[in-house]
Amino acid sequence: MSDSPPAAGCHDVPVRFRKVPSNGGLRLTAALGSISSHVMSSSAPSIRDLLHQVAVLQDLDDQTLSILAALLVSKTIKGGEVIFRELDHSDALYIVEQGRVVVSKHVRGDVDIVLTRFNPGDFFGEMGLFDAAPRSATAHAESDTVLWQLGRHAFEQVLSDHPAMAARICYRLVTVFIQRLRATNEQAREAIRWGLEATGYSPDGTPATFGRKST
Amino acid sequence: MAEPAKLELLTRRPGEPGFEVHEVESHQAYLGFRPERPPSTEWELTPQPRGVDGSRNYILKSHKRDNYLLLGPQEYFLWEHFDGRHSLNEISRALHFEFGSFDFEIIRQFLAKLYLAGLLNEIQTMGLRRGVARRHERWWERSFAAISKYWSRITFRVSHADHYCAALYDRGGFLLFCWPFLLLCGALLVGAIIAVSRLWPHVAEIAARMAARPLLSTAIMLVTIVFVSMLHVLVHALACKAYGRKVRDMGFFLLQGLLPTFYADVTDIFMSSRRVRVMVDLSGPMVEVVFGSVAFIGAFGSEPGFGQSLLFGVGLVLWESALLNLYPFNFLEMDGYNMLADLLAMPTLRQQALALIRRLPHRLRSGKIPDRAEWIQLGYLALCFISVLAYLIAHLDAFGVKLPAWGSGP
Repeated sequence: MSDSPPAAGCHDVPVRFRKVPSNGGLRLTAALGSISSHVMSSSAPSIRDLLHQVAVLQDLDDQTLSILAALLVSKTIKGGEVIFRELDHSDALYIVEQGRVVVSKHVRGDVDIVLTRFNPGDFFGEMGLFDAAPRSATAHAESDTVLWQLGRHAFEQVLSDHPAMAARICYRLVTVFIQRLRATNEQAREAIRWGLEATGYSPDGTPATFGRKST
Repeated sequence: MAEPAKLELLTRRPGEPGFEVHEVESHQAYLGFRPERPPSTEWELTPQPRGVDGSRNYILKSHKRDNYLLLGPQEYFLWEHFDGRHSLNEISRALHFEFGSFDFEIIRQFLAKLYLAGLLNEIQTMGLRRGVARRHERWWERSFAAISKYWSRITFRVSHADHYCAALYDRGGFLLFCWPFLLLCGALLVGAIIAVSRLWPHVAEIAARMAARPLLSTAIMLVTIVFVSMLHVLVHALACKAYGRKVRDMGFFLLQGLLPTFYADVTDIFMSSRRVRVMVDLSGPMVEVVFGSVAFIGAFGSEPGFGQSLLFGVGLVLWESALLNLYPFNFLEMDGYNMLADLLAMPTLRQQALALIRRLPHRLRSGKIPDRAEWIQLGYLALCFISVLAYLIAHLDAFGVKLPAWGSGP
């Protein structure tokens, strides 16, 4: 990332910004166009270490994690590339091993609003495990990123073959959903505050309108 | 002051890979904000007579919300520039060139006023912000607000007041504003003055007969005052209709949050001339004058007794009520005050005067001499203070307080 002024004509107001260039294509190619994948060995200790850090998998033991790890698919994304776009088909959850992911939602034209960021140990796209509706936001790699993908079919397999494990994952997922809902509420509040301040509305004393009441 | 709110935006350039992340603070966007007034069909602007300092105010009416805003010269300048083409940055610079130094808060407050009146794109979250602001009030502010809330529950308003007033005006109300009726009022007044002058030598006996039946006298007086007060505001409303303006509202409320009284909201007369406003102001107290005159003439024509005393007492109370209503220096925004404010072209005289008091110590310390408008405001406050003090002293006996006999030796 580098700091440089914004493109002329892009914005009327001075803004701080970071430029995230695309570093070209991906290392590997597979089913999702430029995204490549390969199945990792369930015995790889580095994956288990990573999965231990993931909030939804905290209740699982090594053996269970090994079963789950066998279902994960690795993806390597270059900085600046799109992982999935808003309205894309939704079918997987992603766990970040390396790098940073920025999730944004389209506002207008070529402008998105940044919703959140994910760092190593975080996961995103969990709605895709339960809901076949299109993606609600776009995920970009802000830097070179390594992800682990848990597809919906793989998750359904966990639900049917390992219900105890699935129950623990789902319980943790609900907790994470609640945290994210709270964060979304805060973000909505902040966006409203921004709108109020940006348009000059002041809550300090409601200005009285003019009037005459004859008595 | 809280940190300005920030938004992070992600942008892409067409045909280029990658993206940029921008952080935009609210105050940066604020300067770039281009306020735009709605189409001219949604509002009406009426210039007011020039004030003592030569400046001109304007009344801006929102047809959408039925709200009225008083615009000072700087606010009018801003309104003229809120065309959607100029940013606040540019407008503030233009304002500076036009008026010299100014407080940026004027722009912020004016925008808030316009939002409230529906004269800029509406912000639906005002209630939320007010709720947040309320949480930071002190306990005594909350207590006072709670008491005010319960006290204000006695207020009520009549829906579709304009519709009823228009119907009443068309079905005979217009007769009140014809010359023959005005001449009749004049004749009644002259007759009442003669009646009072004839009855005055017997005033002690008249008062004694009333004092003999205090409960009945007081009850009849109260009923009469309430009835005449209702007619008073109704005539204000009909006068407003007589000049083709709208009656926004009628009902019962707490004047200055304190004094329970009936009211007619005749703000729409600000879209007419100053003469019309004075006529509407004057029409209400005429009710007390006319009814009081009728009572005095009735007392004069009656045989001495409780009936005559009661009529004389009613006449006296109604004339005093008219006098209090027409007297402008009592801190209350009654008809006399409204006329004074109209004649001085200072429609918010009382509020300006009270605001000046808060600023005055600082002004005096900095050696700044008040201008002509401020002298008027100070004069208004001084006369109000003296008048209220004189009224209280004159009525101290009613509270059982005896003043020392000044000038008498030991």
